[in-house]
Amino acid sequence: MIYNIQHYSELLYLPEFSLSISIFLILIFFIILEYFYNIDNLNKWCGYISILFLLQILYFLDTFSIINIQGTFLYFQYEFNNFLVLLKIIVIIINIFCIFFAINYSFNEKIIHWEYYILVLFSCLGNMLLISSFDLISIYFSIEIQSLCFYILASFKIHSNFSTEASIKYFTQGAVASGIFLLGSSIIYFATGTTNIYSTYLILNSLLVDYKFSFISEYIFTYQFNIDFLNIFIFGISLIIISLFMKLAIVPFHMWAPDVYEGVPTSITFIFALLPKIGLIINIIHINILCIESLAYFPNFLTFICSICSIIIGIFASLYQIKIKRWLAFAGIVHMGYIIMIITIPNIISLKILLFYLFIYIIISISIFIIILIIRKQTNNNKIKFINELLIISNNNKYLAIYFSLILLSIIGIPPLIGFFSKYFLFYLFINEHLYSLSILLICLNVISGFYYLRLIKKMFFIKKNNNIRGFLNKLSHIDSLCFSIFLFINIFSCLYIEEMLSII
Amino acid sequence: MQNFIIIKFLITSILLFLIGIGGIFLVKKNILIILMSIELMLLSINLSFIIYSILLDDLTGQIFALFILTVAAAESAIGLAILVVYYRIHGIISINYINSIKG
Repeated sequence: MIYNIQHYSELLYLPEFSLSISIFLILIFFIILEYFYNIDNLNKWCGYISILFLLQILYFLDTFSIINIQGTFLYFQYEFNNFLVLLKIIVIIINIFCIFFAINYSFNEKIIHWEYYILVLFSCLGNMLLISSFDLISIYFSIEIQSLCFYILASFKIHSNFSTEASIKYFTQGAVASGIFLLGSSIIYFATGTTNIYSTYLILNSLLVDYKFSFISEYIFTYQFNIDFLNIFIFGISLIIISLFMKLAIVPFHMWAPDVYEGVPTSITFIFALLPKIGLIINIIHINILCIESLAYFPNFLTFICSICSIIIGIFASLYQIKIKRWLAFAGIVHMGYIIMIITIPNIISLKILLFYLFIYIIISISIFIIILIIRKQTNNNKIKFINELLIISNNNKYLAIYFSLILLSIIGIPPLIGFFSKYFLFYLFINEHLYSLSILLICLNVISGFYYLRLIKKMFFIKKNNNIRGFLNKLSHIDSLCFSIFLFINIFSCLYIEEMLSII
Repeated sequence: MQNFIIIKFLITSILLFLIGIGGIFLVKKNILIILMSIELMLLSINLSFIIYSILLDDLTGQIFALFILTVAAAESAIGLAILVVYYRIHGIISINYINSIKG
């Protein structure tokens, strides 16, 4: 049963509202603690308390997901339904992981400021708003809340040469992207007279009634007039899609991603790789559906071309990388290309498959990122930068090496592991839509990327290394090894629950 | 007649936007110029929003323009803060020296 609660629409933004209230509470509380009491490890406590508040928001959202509610709030700026609640739950779970792993990492990297967690929470708020936003004003606002926090987070390690430089690059790119977004939204406002996506859809369809029945001779005048407006609208919406691609690092606009990923601290790379993607993808879906419903096929074509380019260039560029974080950036570009490609096929099944793919992308990238977040060198407690250094773990810690190679196999798509199922449903969708040549091309590209990962596994286990690098890595604590085993468990055994996962989505 | 004036305003705003884009991509001197051109881009879009709102006799565009003003102020403040942090370490704000991260 679906409840339509226009009259109680204040209820619908309760999670966001309580999150913002709790952020301000944490802020005030820690400012008082910092100025009046002298407490060590304030950073750590702020992390734990923010995890606690996020768990409380998770509880709110969970109660929402039981009842099936639909509606809009804040004067049609935001929409609310069960699908979006699920995405918000995913976002909050990722945020909890980010904060949890950042606590130890920032202790090791000597990032002592507790404001780090406040900024992460604010970006979480922006992301939750971005997921449910349904108006160009609110999309712009949520993107800005999120990315203003990200600019500061990128330069958070203020004594590092690389961090500040990456921050400058990220800032320039983000500002240009939001400028292009605003240009597109002003053009759409000119063409349709509204900024709400649903009203835009209604207006375009009422204009297009004449277009659809243009064989009647009386309508020829209005037909010509409407075509002009449709072309202006297509120009605006293409600009908006391009700006969202710039934020997502799809290929013609991807040059910032490897530099920024490499420069910023790893705990923030973790956030950049996962969090902004979810909200942006949901908005691209909204806009793409709007275009297809109003017979504007050019943005869809643009999306398709960009996705093909990002898959090809991402795979071939990741073959040449020697640094871990650059390599992860290109892997992320390839995954985003696949997701964008699913968006171009508009039906209900593709939406399900897209969310499933996104979910598996999140699991796999968390399980890779926790390796580079946790492992440190024993000699100088530094983090690991190069892939070749990561390959020595087989000398040091056999189980960790097995974990790493299983995750790599999962990325390639070997059947019992979870990465297989995302690829499986992807190709299932393409073959269902009779896109045979495209699926053959994608399978060939997958083989090439599979070569790269298999080469890593071969280097790890089957090549003889000199033995004096034993004791190269630090010992793991119990909690860290628990995290590793949980993610290994998810990667191996979630193949038993695929149907349940699809039915939830 | 009124349409003619509005088209002049529109051309002004589009030219300002193009100058802003050009300032980012063509003038490779220093980071302050990038910040100025970003501000110019956002302000030109503000102008075009206000023109459209007068043209369409609708209030949404003016509200959007006010919102953009506040966000642009926050964005340029953060940009200047990042610039200060960058200058403290590198001692220079020229674009030609932003190349320590390479692949």
